[in-house]
Amino acid sequence: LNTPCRTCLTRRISKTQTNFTMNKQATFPLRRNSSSLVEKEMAGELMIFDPSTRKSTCLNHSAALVWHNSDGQTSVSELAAIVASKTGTPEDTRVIEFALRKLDEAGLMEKVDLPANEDAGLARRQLFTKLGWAAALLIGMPLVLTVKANARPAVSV
Amino acid sequence: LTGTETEDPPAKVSRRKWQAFQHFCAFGTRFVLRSNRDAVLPTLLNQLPLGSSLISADAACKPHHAYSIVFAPESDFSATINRDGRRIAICSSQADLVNVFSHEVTNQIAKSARDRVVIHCGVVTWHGKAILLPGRSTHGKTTLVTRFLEAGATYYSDEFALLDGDGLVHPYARPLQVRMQKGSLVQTQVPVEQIRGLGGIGKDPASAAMLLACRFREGARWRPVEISRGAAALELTRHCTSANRFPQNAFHATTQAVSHLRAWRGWRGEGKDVVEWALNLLNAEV
Repeated sequence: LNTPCRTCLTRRISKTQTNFTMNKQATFPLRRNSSSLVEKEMAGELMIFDPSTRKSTCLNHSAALVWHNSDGQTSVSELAAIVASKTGTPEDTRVIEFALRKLDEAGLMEKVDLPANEDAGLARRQLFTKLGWAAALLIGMPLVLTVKANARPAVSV
Repeated sequence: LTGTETEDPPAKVSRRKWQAFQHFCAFGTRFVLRSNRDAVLPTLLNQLPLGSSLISADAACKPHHAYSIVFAPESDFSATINRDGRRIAICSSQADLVNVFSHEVTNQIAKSARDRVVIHCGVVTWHGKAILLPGRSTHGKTTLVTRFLEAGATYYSDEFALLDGDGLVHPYARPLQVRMQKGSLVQTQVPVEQIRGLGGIGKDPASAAMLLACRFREGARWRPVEISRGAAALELTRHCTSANRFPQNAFHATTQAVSHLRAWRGWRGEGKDVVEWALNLLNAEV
């Protein structure tokens, strides 16, 4: 009776194996070379313009920290420690993974190689709720905003 | 010679034999306007948007854009407007021609301005500080600009904010383009001087102090959310008409323009509460 059913056992083993693999894999994200991008800092934010895609991106302080320190030699957990120490937010690799995914979507990363997990598709506020952080810490959550330069009809006839 | 003039088949209009042409320039972009009927040119040149000036053919080394007004040889009034060899519209009356040409040139200047970064945005100033009201057509820019002017603000533009390299806002003080009927796309020109309480019409460049990214919604209460300067710069980029051709200029000008402003976003109902709120805030900061 104490023996778990075949399905449960399979699931448990599978989940354990996945976690083990994730812990064993150290990810060293690498950002894009700055020489091909135009950067401008203002009031704690970093504005980045990519001439090749015509995209303007705005990173808040913690997203900018993640991006600047993604040099291909700093692991995700080290990034989490850096961001936590400079922003005062709890140290959590899920936040860094979230930031890296958003930076990758914005075309600012050379290499990310994050493992697929259930947080992958979460929006910023959803992840914030899931982490159970205090509301005051929302400002410390990485934020990546992007706009593509696109002409629209200026005058209506 | 086998035939008289009337017996000849109708001559095909040669686009190289223009009866009249004129070069003009606006914000660093050079244009040439040409037609196979000389009578129409002065009327069209009168409709050139603000900031345009006529230039001689020598000064224009090579125009960036060419407009051709081609009249069909046998018709009283059937004209085709071409831009850079591509047909834009066929007009059956002079009023149509003038209207379409005027809008087309304004649109083209907004997209291809070289000396200025053009943002689709209403602008007024209060004590010399510019308030930017970016938004698409029908979002209520002109209405809000009018409310600000009634409260004593200085008029800069109801359509375009012209930014220079330092992020300063230059006036584009054309008559207000008002939609008299709700939901209508037809605009009527209203001289700014008719507005009671107008604080003046701007002439000098001004630095931006406030950005209100708001949109009209019936019955909405004005409960703005402050956004960061970076988000404000993206808001300006989103409404930048010349960003497609000169994206790097747009990036520099918009980031410069937002370097000293505060920005809010939200839905608005009638404009008066927004104006009162904004001017109180600016007065408190002054």
